[in-house]
Amino acid sequence: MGTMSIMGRTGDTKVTWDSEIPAEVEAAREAFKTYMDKGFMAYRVKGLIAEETRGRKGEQILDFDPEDETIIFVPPIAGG
Amino acid sequence: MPNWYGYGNLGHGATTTASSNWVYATDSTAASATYTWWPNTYYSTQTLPCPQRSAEELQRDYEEIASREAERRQAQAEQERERAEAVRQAEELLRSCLGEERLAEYKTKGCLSVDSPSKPGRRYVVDAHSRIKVYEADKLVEELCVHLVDPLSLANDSRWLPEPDVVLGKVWLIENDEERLLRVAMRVANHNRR
Repeated sequence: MGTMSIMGRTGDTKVTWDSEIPAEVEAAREAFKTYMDKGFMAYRVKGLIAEETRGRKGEQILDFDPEDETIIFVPPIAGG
Repeated sequence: MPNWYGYGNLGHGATTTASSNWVYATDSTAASATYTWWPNTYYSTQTLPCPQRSAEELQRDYEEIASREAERRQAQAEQERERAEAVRQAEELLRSCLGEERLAEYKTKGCLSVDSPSKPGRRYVVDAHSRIKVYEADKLVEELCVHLVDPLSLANDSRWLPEPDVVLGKVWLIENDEERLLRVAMRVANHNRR
């Protein structure tokens, strides 16, 4: 089971999918594309926190992989 | 030419003050009362005529004003509850990604320290709303101004997002794409360093 968390004004919105159910994978892929098109940055999170003293590293990704467990979407950045 | 009654920030027949945000007025010459809000600048220098009104009319108007004020306060309280829940969720996300130790560090100090992935000895200090501070050999060398942009409003400010989300977003940006951060950010050199 995979989960996308999309950061937003009212907290993160979650999208979940089961990699063995094609319809859910397709819906998740569509959601992934939608947020990427809006300029969000996607990070894949792996491993358990206990394994690393400084927490888990988010690895930036550009493509959706249904086998990913956790993907976090961060809003686009701009200089200020 | 209508006669205008003023309430709220406006005293009867008084001149509005520059510090008032809004003027509440009714048109006494209309067949039915109309209620409109104007920004204070519209009437800021005018003295408004104010005919006598009956006690019932005043009471009715005051009750309407009180009702609107109660609705405004209720909406504000609801917004504050939503914000608190959003911050709670964002803290949980920060904890699940970076761990209990770093969440505690953030809650204690209000910021997180991130080592540069490319340059030994360089360290970034990240909080939600200030510029990212860049230290080299423990000396502040420059500050970087970046925002996480709301795709709906495109406002160039991160305040729309819960603070822990902003911090997590900046931490991962440094760890994954430091070069992009340095390219996009408005950079302010620290000229006082020695």
